Amino acid sequence: MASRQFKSVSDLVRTISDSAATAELVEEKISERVIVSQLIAMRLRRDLSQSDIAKEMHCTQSRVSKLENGLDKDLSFADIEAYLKALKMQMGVMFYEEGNTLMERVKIHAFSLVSCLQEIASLSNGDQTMERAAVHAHLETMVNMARLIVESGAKIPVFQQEVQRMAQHSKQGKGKKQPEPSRVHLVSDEPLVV
Amino acid sequence: MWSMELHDGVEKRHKQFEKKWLHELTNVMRNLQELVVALESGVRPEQLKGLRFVRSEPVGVLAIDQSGPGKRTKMVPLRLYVYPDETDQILHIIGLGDKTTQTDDIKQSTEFVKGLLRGKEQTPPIGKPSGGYPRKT
Repeated sequence: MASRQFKSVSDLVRTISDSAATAELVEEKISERVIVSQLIAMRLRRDLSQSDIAKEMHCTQSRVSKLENGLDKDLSFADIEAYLKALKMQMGVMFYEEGNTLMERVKIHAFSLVSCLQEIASLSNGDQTMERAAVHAHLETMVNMARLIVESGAKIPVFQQEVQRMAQHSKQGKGKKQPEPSRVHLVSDEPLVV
Repeated sequence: MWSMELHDGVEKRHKQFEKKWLHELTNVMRNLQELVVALESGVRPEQLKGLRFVRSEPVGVLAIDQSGPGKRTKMVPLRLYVYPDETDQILHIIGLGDKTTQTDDIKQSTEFVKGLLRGKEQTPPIGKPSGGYPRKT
């Protein structure tokens, strides 16, 4: 039998288990340690030991070990905050309506991104250097987001065909009256860092 | 983004253990998920040994055990053998076994990875013929 590819452990277990209850049990166990597993991953990526974290958190290594071997529900808000501080990280919290679809979550993230960009724009406050930096930040974000979205879409088999079809459709419609295209005026000729 | 490639033999063992040692097996699968989370977060394969349920085996094979959160309770030791291929971002799931099959499982897993690495060495880069470029005469 040839090897098979899976995108998630849940999919894998659902496919190879005899009973649906097995997959449900795995999903339940995974859901109990979502935050803890992220914290451990961030520590490992920084090549830090539990002792390093303990030193920053002003506690013992066994306390850190206990946190890492526990469940999300056993973590306090202060624990997460202190652990992240030890990693030189900050916490951001997002609230979703129960039952929000993934597309609604995409929109929430998009609005959050725009809000950050507007904050950058507001910092310029008439200063030309800051304005240039804000324009760069906007354009860099635009290019990077477009690239990431195309990379994500490319994983869908029909994505390329659909893009070509839309481009074709756009070409055919060129004879018709088009709205005036908006123009982006670059402040400088410096290349964008992307 | 990392994907997982399930190889022959794992499914059969999974079905056997599902009947005998469900608690241990589901712990192994939860640990597999945590290892994937780490890889997705940018943790390098050599850093994965920092996960408490990971044991390092020869040629980069990693063994994931059944240990779980909370107090250590007596459980049947199971091992899931994986190999993270960083270049292709594929986590190969090569074997699953218990203590009685451990020696054979490690041997088979390491042989698999050696074969995989040999295959990579022999695969010519895109655009280059396998016998090298023809010489000018």
